[in-house]
Amino acid sequence: MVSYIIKRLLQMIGLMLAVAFISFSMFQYLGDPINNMLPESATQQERNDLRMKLGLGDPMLTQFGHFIVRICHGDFGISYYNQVDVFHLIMERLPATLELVIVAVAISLLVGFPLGVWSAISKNRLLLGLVQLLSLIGVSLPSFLIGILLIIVFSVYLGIFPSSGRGATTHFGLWSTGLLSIGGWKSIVLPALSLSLFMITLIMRLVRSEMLEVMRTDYIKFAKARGLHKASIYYRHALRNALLPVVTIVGLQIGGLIAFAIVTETVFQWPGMGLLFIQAINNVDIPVISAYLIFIALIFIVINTLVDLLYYLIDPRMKKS
Amino acid sequence: MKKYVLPLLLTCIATQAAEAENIVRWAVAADIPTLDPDAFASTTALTFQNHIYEALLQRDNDLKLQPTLATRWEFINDTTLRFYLRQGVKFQNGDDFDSSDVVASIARVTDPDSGIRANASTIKDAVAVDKYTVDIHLKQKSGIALNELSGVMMMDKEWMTQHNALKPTSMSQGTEGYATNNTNGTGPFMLVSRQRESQMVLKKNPTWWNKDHSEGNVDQIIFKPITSDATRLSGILAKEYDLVTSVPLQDIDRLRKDNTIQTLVSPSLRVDFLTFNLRDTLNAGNVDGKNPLKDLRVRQALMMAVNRQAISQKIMRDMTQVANTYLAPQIPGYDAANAIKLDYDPVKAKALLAEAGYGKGFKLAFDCVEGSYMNAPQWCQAVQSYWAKIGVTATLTMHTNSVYNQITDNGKTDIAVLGWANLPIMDAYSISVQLLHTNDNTGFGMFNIPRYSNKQVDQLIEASIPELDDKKRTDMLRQEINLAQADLPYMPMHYEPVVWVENKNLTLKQSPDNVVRLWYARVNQN
Repeated sequence: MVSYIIKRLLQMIGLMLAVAFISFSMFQYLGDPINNMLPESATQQERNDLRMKLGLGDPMLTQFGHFIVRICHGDFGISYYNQVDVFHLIMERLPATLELVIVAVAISLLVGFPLGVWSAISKNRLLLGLVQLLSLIGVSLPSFLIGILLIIVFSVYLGIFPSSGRGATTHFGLWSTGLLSIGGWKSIVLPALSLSLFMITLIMRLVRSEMLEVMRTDYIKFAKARGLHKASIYYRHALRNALLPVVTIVGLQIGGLIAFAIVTETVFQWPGMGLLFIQAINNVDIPVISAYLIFIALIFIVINTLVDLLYYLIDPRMKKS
Repeated sequence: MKKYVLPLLLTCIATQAAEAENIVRWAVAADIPTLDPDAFASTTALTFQNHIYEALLQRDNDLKLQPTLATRWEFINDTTLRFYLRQGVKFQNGDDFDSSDVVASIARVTDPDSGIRANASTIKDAVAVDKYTVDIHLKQKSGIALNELSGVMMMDKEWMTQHNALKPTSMSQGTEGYATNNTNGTGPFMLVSRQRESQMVLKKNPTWWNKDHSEGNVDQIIFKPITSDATRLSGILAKEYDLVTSVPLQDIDRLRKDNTIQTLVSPSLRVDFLTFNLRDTLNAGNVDGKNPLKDLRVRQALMMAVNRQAISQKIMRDMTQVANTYLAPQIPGYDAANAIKLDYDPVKAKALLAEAGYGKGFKLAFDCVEGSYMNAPQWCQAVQSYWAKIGVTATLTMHTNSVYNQITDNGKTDIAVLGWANLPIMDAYSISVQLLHTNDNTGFGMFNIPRYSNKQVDQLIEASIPELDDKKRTDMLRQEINLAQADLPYMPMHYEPVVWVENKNLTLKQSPDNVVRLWYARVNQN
């Protein structure tokens, strides 16, 4: 077990270095931030000086080396555009993104599970067809469009929810949360809903197919024959066994939601990491872009490693191999 | 349960009363990266900082320079400007404003690490004469020192010393500064809170020196950056904002139908140009060993081939005017009598091309940028197709801003796009020095993308710089710009429109420099 974990850790470090290197080499083609940072009336000398100061004239490998050394000291540099510490900037945004993702996952589970169970056992063909059709739309519509539609309906016409922002936030040291006020909850509903739509559909379809499979097994038939209560059969016996693959998928999806919240955050002006990333790309803010990619890679790798370790614990057959 | 009802009711009434304040919710397309007035050169940042910080003299609602923190000034010799400061002015933390603050602020803006040092290029240093008199020394005799000083914000020396902020925040320091997120100005509003990318709240400064003479009645400003155009538009329609200063042109018609808001549209000071490559070689390949663009007749033909009127009507949605001069009418040096007279005439354009020996046409590399100039991708395409009609094949490439800058810097383009507003100094000096003077790598002609060079133009520009008589100076610049216009290194397209949408209850004058001055604004409660 210990050797397995050590092996995984070494793999993680190698993977992180690879991600860092690839992202870093990509930015060599992004352009030059100098013109965004200096006024129009700056002289050529001033431009060259700034380029020197930022180390943009160095060969790529040297820049990468400096970058890795600084990261190892916990120093992600200063954002070219915002002129503040990048680590601080990301930590400022992380709570917003995590909060959005957590609420989106909660919505997906709360809606997706019952819908999945219901669609597996319902006999109402008309309603079933309608839900299946809606879920198809949910999967195929791009999330920015869903976001805009939600804004048009709930903000512009009905005026129930605000179209953008995070509402009032409460701070606890580095962490901030919007979930302690009504305004905060109102603000999170639309972005979380638009982010969760894909996952709702995914969970629903997965639960349905797993349930249908479990329902065909013998022990369900026996349970029915014993005359057990229907709810007990569905929720205690069938659903439990259909749960495991669903949980795995949800776990893996969370990493994806964090990374792909970019679109939702842009549409709803949600002050999270995705918005920071988009802005950094526009301004060729290389320290922020690299740090963001490293953070996201880290989140992905940690989640995947945890899932692997869970398998290792759950499935005894893995220990032998 | 009952015992909660009364406090709850009272709270409701209390919040109601708080809402009776005059609040302006102001949405823009991008956040201000830093609140440090000397760190970052951007008109939008300056627009916001102007509500908190003030300069010695400033432009009013009609763009006239007015005394602000100084009551008057005079040249005591060619390179020394003496300022007499307003007495009794207090910073927002209660400190007094006096000459030591001016000296520290001037030292800060001219620091080698200052991001806006280039906007104070003529200023050398400041020396206090007494508590309320300051001498500002110039590097050389210059007629634009006052224009430049109107963009130099005054900061509190004691406050900067206390928070280790005497130098501007900059990359080289490697740390963020106190002034990035905290402010202490003398201006009409003070910062209450700042959440990056989310919102900033300003409230009225109760001790502002000019509050008794101010026509404005705004108590609170909530500044909201909303990056996505569609979201911002929805917010306007949902009445979430009172003022929106960046609105996509294509949505204006729809907004005009809504009678609770008013749409303000006017041409700005910014002229959008196309640049002609005047180097010896074309990037797309020379014709018969020559660069056709070096022939004035070819450049004239290219301008006549484009129906700029149609572009202004269709692509700019009839919200601006065709520009036939290099300067906007509000900029000193503008000369309507000498406007370029090359209206749309494709037949004549073709004839001119043939006359120059390029009747069969030629190829050009055309580089356009996304996101920098209003609707530029669309009007670049339109120009390309107009040129195709007279046989000139331009290969159009769209770029993002950061990549585009490298291309134009290195001259790897034949036709490029450029907009010039002459801000913040609002003087023909800006375009003359940056676009029209020969690029000599000493600071002249930094944005002279065509590599245009005319000795007479250079001489007039250089002669105008030390001229202190404003009339003579403007006259030289006018002559010089007329000469350059005749040479046609740049093809003016149109003025970029300024588009604001505001709540009907808000009275605010729109100015062509696209600067919001909310201390002049009035909210009518009803």
